[in-house]
Formats: sequence, C-alpha cells, structure tokens
Amino acid sequence: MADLRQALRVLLKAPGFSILIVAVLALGIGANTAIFSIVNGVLLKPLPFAHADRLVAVQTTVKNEPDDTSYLDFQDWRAQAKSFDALAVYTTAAITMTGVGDAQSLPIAIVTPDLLPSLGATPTIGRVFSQDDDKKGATRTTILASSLWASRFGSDPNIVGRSITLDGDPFTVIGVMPAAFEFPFDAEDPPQMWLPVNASRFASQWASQRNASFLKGIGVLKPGVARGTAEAELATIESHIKDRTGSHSVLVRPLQDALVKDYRLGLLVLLGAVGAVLLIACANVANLLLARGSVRRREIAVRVALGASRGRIARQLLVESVALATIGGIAGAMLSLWTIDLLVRFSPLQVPRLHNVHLDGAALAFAALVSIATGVLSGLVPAFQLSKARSGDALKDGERAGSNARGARTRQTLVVAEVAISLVLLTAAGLLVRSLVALQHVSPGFATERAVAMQLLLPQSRYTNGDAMRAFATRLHDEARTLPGVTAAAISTTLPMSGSDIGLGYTVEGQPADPSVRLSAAYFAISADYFSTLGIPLIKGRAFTDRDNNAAPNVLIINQAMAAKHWPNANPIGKRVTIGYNDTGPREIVGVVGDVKQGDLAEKSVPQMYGTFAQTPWPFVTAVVRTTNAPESAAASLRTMLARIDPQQAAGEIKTLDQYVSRSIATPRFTALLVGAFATLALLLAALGLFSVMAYSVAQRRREIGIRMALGAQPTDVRALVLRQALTMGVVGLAIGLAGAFAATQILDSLLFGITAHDPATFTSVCGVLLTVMLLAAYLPARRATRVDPIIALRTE
Amino acid sequence: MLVSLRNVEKSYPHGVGRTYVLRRLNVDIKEGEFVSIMGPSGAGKSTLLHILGMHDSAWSGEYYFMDQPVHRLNPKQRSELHKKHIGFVFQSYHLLDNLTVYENLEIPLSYRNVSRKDRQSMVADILDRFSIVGKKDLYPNQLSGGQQQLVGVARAVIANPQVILADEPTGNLHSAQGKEIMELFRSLNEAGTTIVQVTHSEVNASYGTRIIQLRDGWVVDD
Repeated sequence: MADLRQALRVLLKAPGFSILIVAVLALGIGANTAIFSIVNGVLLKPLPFAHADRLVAVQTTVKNEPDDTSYLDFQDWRAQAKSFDALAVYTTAAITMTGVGDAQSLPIAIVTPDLLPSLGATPTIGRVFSQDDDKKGATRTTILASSLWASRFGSDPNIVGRSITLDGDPFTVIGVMPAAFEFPFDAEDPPQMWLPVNASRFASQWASQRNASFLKGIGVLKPGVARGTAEAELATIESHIKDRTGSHSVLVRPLQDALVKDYRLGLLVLLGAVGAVLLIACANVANLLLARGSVRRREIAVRVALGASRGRIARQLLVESVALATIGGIAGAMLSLWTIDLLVRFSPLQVPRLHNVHLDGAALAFAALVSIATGVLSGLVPAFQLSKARSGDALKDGERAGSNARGARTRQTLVVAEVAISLVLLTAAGLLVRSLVALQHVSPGFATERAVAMQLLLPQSRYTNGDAMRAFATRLHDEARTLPGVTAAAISTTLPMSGSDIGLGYTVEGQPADPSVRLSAAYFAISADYFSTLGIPLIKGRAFTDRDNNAAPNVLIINQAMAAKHWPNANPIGKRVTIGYNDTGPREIVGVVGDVKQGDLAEKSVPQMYGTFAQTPWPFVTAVVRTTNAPESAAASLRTMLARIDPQQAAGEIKTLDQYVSRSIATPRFTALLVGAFATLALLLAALGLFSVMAYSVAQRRREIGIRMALGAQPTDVRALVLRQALTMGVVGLAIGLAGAFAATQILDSLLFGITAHDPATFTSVCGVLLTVMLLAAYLPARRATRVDPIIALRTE
Repeated sequence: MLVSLRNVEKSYPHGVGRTYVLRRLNVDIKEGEFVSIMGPSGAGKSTLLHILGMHDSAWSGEYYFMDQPVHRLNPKQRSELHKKHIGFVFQSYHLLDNLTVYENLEIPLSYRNVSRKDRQSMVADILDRFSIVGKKDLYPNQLSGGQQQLVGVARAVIANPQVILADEPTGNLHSAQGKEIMELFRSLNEAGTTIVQVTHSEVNASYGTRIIQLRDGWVVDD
C-alpha cells in the first residue's frame, strides 16, 4: 500500500510524463480489448444454444466442393441416420407481408420442424413447429421474431392464432421467439419470421426435386458420437441415393466453425496485429520508464544507501508501472467501448453474431489482465536495470549519472524491437492494401456507374404461372424505361454480385455427360436490352431481341468462360444445350458475351448462361435502371412505380450496382483498413520510441557534441552523427523485421489477391516508408543537437 | 599580427541593465608568442579564450585573426578559420568517453576532410611524438589525468594549428603531470606554435613570454 501511495505521488509529480504513458497504454489496451471483444463474440463464445458443443453443420459436398442439400436428401438422412439426436435444415429467403400497414418484404428463415428444438429454443409465447405443420396441404403456420412482433403488431399478447398474409397466402401465427434468439446468423439481415419448408410455396416446389439443393443442414450429435462417425454414416446414406450425377458426400463440422469459417483468419490476423501494437506500446513505455529512471538514479541510489534491497527497489518500480498500466487499462476500456461500436458499424455485415458484440465481462476481464501484464512487461526491464544501481556510483556521478551505457543499449534494443514489429505489421498492411487495390481494379465485367437495381420475389399465390410473371415483368420493364432520368432499363432474374444467384445444371448436345461431374452454370433470365443496359459486351453471334419470346424457339446466350470450357477450338454459335429447368428441350446458342463476376471480384470467371425472361419466367425479378438522377431519387421512383403496378408487392433490396461491387470487397476492405490502422499506430509508436530515445540520447550527449563542435564539427557533422545512430537502430530493426515479415506474411496468403505474400514491391516500399519515418523521428533531436552551444555544454562540467 | 582585438566587449542583459564580462579589450598577439591570461575567478579569462577560439560569437568590437575580420565572417567561415588554424585544450580534457585514444585523435582530422590514409599516418605520427603508442586502444577512463591531458594536447596539435588555446590545461593535474604538460607547450612554442593559455598558476605563466592580467573584464596589465 505504501508502495502504491508513493507510486501515485511519483506519477503525479511528472504529470506530462504520466499522461503520455497512460495515453500510449490506453491506445494499446483499448485496441486490444475492442478486437478481443469481437474475436470473443464471433469466434470464442459458445453459440447461445443448448448442446452447443454437440451442434454440427451438416453439409453436402459434390466432388469435394461444398454445396447445399436437397430436401429429399435430408429426409433420407433423417430417416436413416443413427448418430444424431436431431437433424434439421434451413434456408433464408424473403417474403412479402400485406395487410399489416404497407406491403413489406421481410427476411425469413425456412426451416424444418426440428430446427428450433434442436437449438433448444423455445418461444416466448405460443409453440414451435410440429411435424404436421410441415406436411403438404397443412394450415400454413409461422413463428415471429420478437422485433417484428413489437414493430408491426405492437407486441400484441393475443398474436398466437392470428392470421396474417404472406405472399398472398394466409398464415397462422403460432408463436413469438425471444428477443435474444437469432438463427441463422450468416444472413445479412436477421430473419423476421420462421416458416416450415412446405408452408412456403417457393421452398415446397423445390422440396420434391432430388437435385434442388437449397438447404443448409444442422444436427445435434448423440452424446459420445464422434463427428467422423456421423460423417461416415451420412456419406454412406448419400452413396446409396440413386439417379443423379456427381459424387456426393457429406461434411460434418462444429456449427461454430462452419459459421465463422470465412472470417476466422481475418479476425485472427487482426488479433495478431493488435497484439503487436500492444507489444510496441509496452516497449515504448519501458523505454520512457528507463529514460525517466535514469533521471531518478540519484533517488534510487539514495534509497539503496538507506538500505533498500534490490527486490524492494524493483517492487517499487513495478508498482509504478502497474499503476500506470491500470490507469491506461481503464482509459483503454473506455476507449474500446467507442471503438467496438465503430468497428461493428463499419464491419462487413455478414460476420455472424458481430452485431451482438459489446464490452462484456469477458472483455473487461481481458482488459484487466492485459493491463496488469502490460504493467509488468513494460516495468520489468526498467525495474531490473535500475534496481542494479549502486549507491556510490550514482551519488558521485553528478550530471552524467544517466549516461549509463547499459541503459542506453537496453533502450536501443527496445527501439530495434519496435521497428522490427512495426515492419511486420506494415508489411502485412501493405500486402492487404495492395491486394485490395488490385481487387478494386478488377473489372466486374459490367458497368456499375449510375445504375440502381430493385429485387423482387413474386408470390406464387398470386403469380401462379409463367404468363402472370411475364406480364408483370413486361409492365415493370416498360414503366421503368419511362421513369424520369432513366436512360436504360432491363429485367433479369438476378444480377451478378447481388448476393442472389440461380445455378442450373445442363447438358451439352454431342458432348457425353460424365456421370461423376455435375455441370452447372449461373443462369439469368433477362430482357432483350439487358446486355446493353449493363454494358456487357457481345463477343460473338447476336444479342436477344423482342422476337425471342415464348412463341419462338428457345435460345441461349453463354459467356466466354462457358464457351472456352466446351468449345475451346470451335464456334459455339448454333450448338445446343439443355438446361435443367422447364425441360422444354435443347436451346440453341445464339451468342457469346463477356464474362461477368458472379460472386465477388476475386473469383475466376465461371460459366454463365442467359435465356430470355419471356421464355423462362421466374418469380425472381430484378429491375435495373441506368439513371441520371441521384440513387435515392431513382430508388423512390422505382418504389412508386411498383406500388402503381402491384400495390401488394413489396420491394426487396434496392441498391446501386456500385454498392454490389463494394459489398463484395467489404471483408478485405475491412481487414486491410484495420490492419492498416494498427500498422500506422505501430509506426507512430515506434517513431515516438525512436524520437524519445534520440532526444534523450542527444540530451545525454550534449557534452560530447559540445566537444566535437569545439574540435571543428559542423552542424551537418552533428546532424549526421545523430541520424547515423537512429539509422543504425532502424536498419537493425529492419533486418530483423524483414525476417519476421517474411515468415509472418505467409499466413496472409489466402487473404491476398493479385500479389504474393512475398511481393518485393511491398517489402521494398514498406522498408522505405519505415526508414523515412525513422529518420523524420530522429530529425528533430538531430536538429536540436546542432544547436548545442559548445561553451555551455562544456561549462556544465 | 596573428590576433588583433579592438574594443571587444561581451555582456549579458541583467534586469534592466547589462552585466559586462569583457570591457573594451584591445589585445594584439604576434605569431610565436606564449601568452598567459591571468586574473581572479569571473575576470573573463575563459570568455576571452572562447572568443579567440571562435566558439563564442556573441560579442561586439573587432577581431582580426591573421588579418581576417572575424567579426564580419559568418558562422561557417569562422568555423573554417578555426578548424584550419586553432587547436583547443580543455581543463577537463573533454576526451570522448566511448572512443579509444586513437579514435579521439582522429576526430579533428575527420572534421577537416582529411583522407583516411592521411589520417592514419597523422595519428601514428602524433602517437609516436607524444609517446603514447601503447595507449592507442585504451579508453579515456583507462588513463590517468595526466595521460588524458596528454591526449588532449595531442588532439589539439594533430591538425598542425598555428595557435593552441588552452583553458587551465593543468587545473585538474598534480604538479608533476602539470609540469610535463607545460614542458610540452614550451617545446611546441619553440617549434613555432603560438600558445595562449588561461591559468591561475604563476609557475605555469612563467613558461610564457607575456602575461595579460584581467580583472572584472578589463585588461589591467599587459
């Protein structure tokens, strides 16, 4: 306690110094607490479900590539598998709710009845689905999310039993889930209600087709059953399913791993980066404490002369550093409150459970632990160094007490370590940023400027056949073209990079099908002016015309990737392909168009097929307009137009094509931005470290500099002397850092696009930046050194 | 004339007035002289020496060094003049602690753009002349005070200056060591080097040919 009291008194005596250290630590601890909160919330925290340790994701694989599962496959699993307490499947979709205020498109989850019980979820009011609810022809039922119940039904306690209209069909509300319940997490918008598979017209039409893979599976393993056993059992069941192409198998993974798979590496890289920042902060604080310790050598010598043991002195110094770190930790925790909010707001939306992340007990415990560890780590070196003081030396040493060579070496070593760690971080950031820039320069294959798209899902209760869908799409197209400011308009089922796509199997006439390979391509049913509206170039043949209607022979346009795949040395025009939809026989290829990116900018071009909407009408309709108006105004006109065409049809997502592209690089952008921010922080801290060491060194070397000037040294000589010392530290740090960066950046390989993890340009430019910053940090002390007045410097003797 | 001071004054602002360290100094020093500047503490002896050595530029009046008007030269030109013609010896030796004897001797040459090869031969020569070859790899703290000052003098003469300015060169030495250094100055002077020393010691002053007495900044006897 006495130590603590004295420590606080010492800290208060040099408030500027204390504030600087607290600020450095607050930055380090705050950033670490924020990133830890996210890593904990997303990766580490058990899923908020019963039997979280036995919950697994069950995923079909075709030729070892992950795929969705068909409803019929799931039925076979469920009937035959013995390894599971429960098995369930789900998918996400959107549905239009009418009759409760304005028509509204709502994100929903379509589930089998076992899903909610297998997660241990029970409704706040009402009940979960029974197997009967999922039978064809049963009364359609739904369970509401708490937020929807509150926002659209005023938390009506009598909601259970009430009938609501979804996609034109009456549904009976049977329950409301608790506010904390959310599943699935990997949807961009949390589901607002849950429906049984067969209650959804969209899902039930696919449910009877063996090859319609649209569901994701989860299961609860029986206690004691290994994942491998379950996987083997399901693989055996899959292998017995007949009449289909492609070698199917099953992958069983812990559900948590499956959910965070895509984000795990990025988050761990962030945690590593922010941990490195903390190490640099520690080195910095140790350096500042050492520098200050030199000033206090006389005080410590007096204590030793009065009988203090080495341990006692070290303890006193450690108490001081831990006290500083604790204050820094409290400031850091407060800083992290704000940082977490900022990170969550700007992070890619799809990261599961991210929006539930907040500063919780675990994060506070982490902050406390890190604070103490930081205090001990940054105080250890100074405590060890300074407690070695012998009273006689320091008391006799007068003004030159601080010019202790060992202390100087320790400080220089710490700066070298800071430079080395900064280089590793800067290189990682450099690689991620260059990769991002490379990504941003990838053309999506279509023009994104001033284009706005509105997605719709037509309810099959009202749009019961192709004619109805065709009529709707035609009117939508015609009216969209006449909207104010619109220069071009087109219709498609989905748009590339929109997050929704339709994959269809196909066979090529004259090319025998390999039963082990399932041919599949992205399919777009489009209006005739789609290519010109999106700026997709026609490479061969012709584009569609209005004459390619449902009365004309079925035609197909393919992309270059598909042409190269099947006719690498031949002209595909005139060849015939049968697609796995509306089996109306083979379609003739009439054109080849440029490739467009399907999912994201990083992926290779995949086969794509285009048919006319008139010949293959779908309930998915997207209207895309190129407009001279602002996107908000274009979106408003699209909504008004839709309300005019069909007041019961809610608009789905309305976004610009630029937003599609931007969304597809949200994750690499977020990672690059954060690692970049941490690397900048690391660089600044290392620069501060070098600056403080050089400033201290110049102060200590005033006499030497004075002598040199008295012996004829010019200001340039003195400046060079100081800069050379800084440069030496920089270069040694650089050499160590380069070795570290070379090893560390390998783990980034899978996050990079267009460059290798050892990209020489990045390594070179990062070294250049680091050396420049180090020289800048040393320049001020160097300039100060040239102002040493030899007479005054020599007189201080 | 080697040195010619005309009405040189140095003062500091002090409250509303000024405190004078040197007053209307008129001093001429010829080449080959051995001058001792004497006077009580605070008389302005060291200040005068630093003005002569061109370390101090905050003064008024006229200072001609080898007919060059120092008072009109810019800092760079002064530094060049100083480097070319002046060697300095300090009371506390002021050797650089982290450099060996050899490296300490090399420093003034490195500031005069002497080539590495020439530096080696000049340092070897001076080590030999001062009989300190055996000490060349030692650090200052491994030498006695007398030995350190010997290195200090060697460092001052290594670049063959016309004049050596010495600020109480034996102040920290016991008498035998002091005598050795003064003998060294005498022989340097006999070889043609002008010596200007600040000293409190009548014995040391007796090595010289001329004494300038300072008191409260005034020359009271010459």
